Amino acid sequence: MKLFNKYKNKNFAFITNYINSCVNDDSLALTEEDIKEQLSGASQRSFEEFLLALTNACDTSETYNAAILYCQNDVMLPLRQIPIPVRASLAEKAWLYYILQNSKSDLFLEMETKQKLLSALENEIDRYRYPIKANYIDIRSLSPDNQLVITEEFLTNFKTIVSAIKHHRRLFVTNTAFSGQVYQDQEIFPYKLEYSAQFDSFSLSCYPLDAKRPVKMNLTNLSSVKLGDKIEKYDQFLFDFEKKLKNTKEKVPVTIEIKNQADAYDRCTYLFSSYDTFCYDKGDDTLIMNIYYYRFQKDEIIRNILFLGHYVKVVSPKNIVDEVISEITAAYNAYR
Amino acid sequence: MAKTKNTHAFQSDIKHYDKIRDILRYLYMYGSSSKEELVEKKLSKSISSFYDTRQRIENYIDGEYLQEHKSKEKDSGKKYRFMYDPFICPVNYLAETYQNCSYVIDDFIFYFCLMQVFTDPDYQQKPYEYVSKKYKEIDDCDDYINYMQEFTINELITTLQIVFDTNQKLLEQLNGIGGDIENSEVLFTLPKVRARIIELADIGILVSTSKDTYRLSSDIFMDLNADELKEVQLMAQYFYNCSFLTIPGYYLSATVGAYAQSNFIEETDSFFNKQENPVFFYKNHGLQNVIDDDITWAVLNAIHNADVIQYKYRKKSGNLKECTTLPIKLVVDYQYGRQYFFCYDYAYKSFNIQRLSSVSDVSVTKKIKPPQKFEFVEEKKVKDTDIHQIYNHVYSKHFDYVWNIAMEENISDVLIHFHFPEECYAKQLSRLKSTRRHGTITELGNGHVDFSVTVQSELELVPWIRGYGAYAIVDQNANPDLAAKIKSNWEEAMKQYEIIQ
Repeated sequence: MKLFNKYKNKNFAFITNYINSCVNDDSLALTEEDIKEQLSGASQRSFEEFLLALTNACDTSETYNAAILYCQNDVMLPLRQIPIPVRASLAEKAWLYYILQNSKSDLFLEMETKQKLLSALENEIDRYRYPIKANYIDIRSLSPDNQLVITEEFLTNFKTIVSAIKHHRRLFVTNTAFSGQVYQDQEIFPYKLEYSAQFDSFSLSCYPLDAKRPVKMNLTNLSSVKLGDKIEKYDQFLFDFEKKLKNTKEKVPVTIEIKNQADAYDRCTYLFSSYDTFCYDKGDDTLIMNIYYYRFQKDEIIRNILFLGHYVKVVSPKNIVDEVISEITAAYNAYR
Repeated sequence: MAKTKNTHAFQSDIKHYDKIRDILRYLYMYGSSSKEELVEKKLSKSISSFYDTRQRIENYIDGEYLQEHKSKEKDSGKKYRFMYDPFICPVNYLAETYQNCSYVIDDFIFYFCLMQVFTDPDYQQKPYEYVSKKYKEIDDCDDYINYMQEFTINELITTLQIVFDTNQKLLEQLNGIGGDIENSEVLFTLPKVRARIIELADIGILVSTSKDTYRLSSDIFMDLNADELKEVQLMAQYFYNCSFLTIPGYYLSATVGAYAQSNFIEETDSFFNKQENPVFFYKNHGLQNVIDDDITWAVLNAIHNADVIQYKYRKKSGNLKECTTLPIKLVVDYQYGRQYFFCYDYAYKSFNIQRLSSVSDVSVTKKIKPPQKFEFVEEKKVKDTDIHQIYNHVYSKHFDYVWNIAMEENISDVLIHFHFPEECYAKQLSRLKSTRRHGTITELGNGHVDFSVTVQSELELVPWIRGYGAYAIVDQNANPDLAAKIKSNWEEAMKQYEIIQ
């Protein structure tokens, strides 16, 4: 059973969606040229042969046409006007069944929906072939404490926030910050929910109207979450918010040198794989990595640099070099 | 006579994912390489093949993610990399590479004719109703199919031929485009149909109900309404972006989208599967593991079926080694974001842990047979116990007290003294709690915290301890070797910055 298979080719998905849409509503049909344009992408010579077969334009003395679509009033419609059944593959069913065992699926589905899916999946003739089971996998969690506890209140807050994000509504929340300070009934524009798999936690990235800057709030610290009115000019809010975020991205990257020793290249690239980086060979078995970062990522970068040890050296900017040197000196002195 | 020229795959697609795996990984993880460097690193055969590969990749994923830039270094030319930014890339764009497995036009015709044979019995409209008044004879094949739910392969061959012939006939009548009646005999031969039916049954689109008889697999979304489907899709999008296995969820999200489009009409101007994620983004969202998803999937199947696999394993030297192992557990490391599998290695007659990203060309092998297959357990136990219970037992025995993934013969007790300044005590203690693995934290007051843990490999703690800088001091009496190691690490770092000689 292969994950990478031809039936999942994007052109199969395209034609399935196209036929099914046309069967339902033939006003959605496209012209031959539009179909070609959407399908061709970075067109190549042999791909042209596929388009010719699909649009029945082959030289039939040499080959054959697909005879799946026909042309009527300049648009292409399915010859056999009947929908293409859409079925989840075994991999999808196995994955879904595995996911439904995860308590976080309750954040998304009503119990009734979940039961309908579970019973359909359990009644599958091929269910014995599902190869994803919790006891086949060991997820090396950083701590047993990193486990999201889904209380009734958390569930309600989560659903309210997701609904607000989806429908562009404002929110009113009470946030108890890490310092213990309570921000009562703050009016905020929600941006998106950030999930950290390492710490199994959700944070709401948002714009509180009193703070007037992007703020991140841990969902477990939120209470009294209430849905507000629609955000006027939502696109403008999104544009401004993302611009503000962009302004917190430092122009000067942290540049580090990595020695090709003790798997350091590999450990370093994995540790920084979720950063905007680019690397090049300096020669001398040394890799240079430039890390472009948001201001709020600075502490984590310094921790990662210390984590990687003496295989990594910060070259610039000076303030980060100084901070790393100060940390290293303090640590060295602690062992003297 | 129909020709058979249409049998070659379309150039931009690929048959085996192994062909692009390494270059995708390199451009995402290391990035910023010139075409000459990629050729030198054997990631591309030649400069000209690099342009082919680049064109392929641009065809597979949104072009904005593959960035070209002129390096500041002298004479280094254009460099390439995949970009990553949590706000600009809220979805795993590398997943899209899995939609490019090659096919030939025969596969395409076969699939769409076949799928229109399996008709929903509740579907009222007849397939050729729109022309049946004009062309009376067109309805014939419909009578033959009679909305059957199950077909033998021979019935399928006949039906497919009728459907294709009818389509050809109709195409000639409607558009004046002629076809050859012999085409369907060339397209739908017994070996061709059988091979493709078996493929579709293997991936679970069809199911075999008895020998040589097939039906469409059951519709798991049948009882769901449009809103429920949207909830399932959002859940799939969330989970596939943060779970150890992306592609099945990525496919599922597309399937739910296609299902909704088919059953609950939605306005659209594009029919491709589009990744959407307006609700979430992900911290430390390393996209790279998806590149190995087909390998992860093969390993999971091997665990499930207790199969022995053989594969090529890239050693640190870069050389490839042939391996034959029995996978026992998939191991996901959250520290670096790397994935492994714990297995029994027949060459060394011992247990081993293998990096998934070093594996390619996996296949199941039957050459290792019982009793050799389970030689690491008593034969009687294999007969009496469920094999997955044995797997769990073996794995626990080897992984008890492992800090992250490093196994060692001996275990030791480690004691580390932490001291956090008052102003950051709460924050640092919380960080310690959320990274402590299985260790015990004892708060001693005045910013002092003791941390004790039993581990298989002391050395595996070194990076974690270093990450705490001067806050963490290893007890020099309890763990002299570990303390000496940390001390020498800091000394090396001091030398690197030329603070000491």
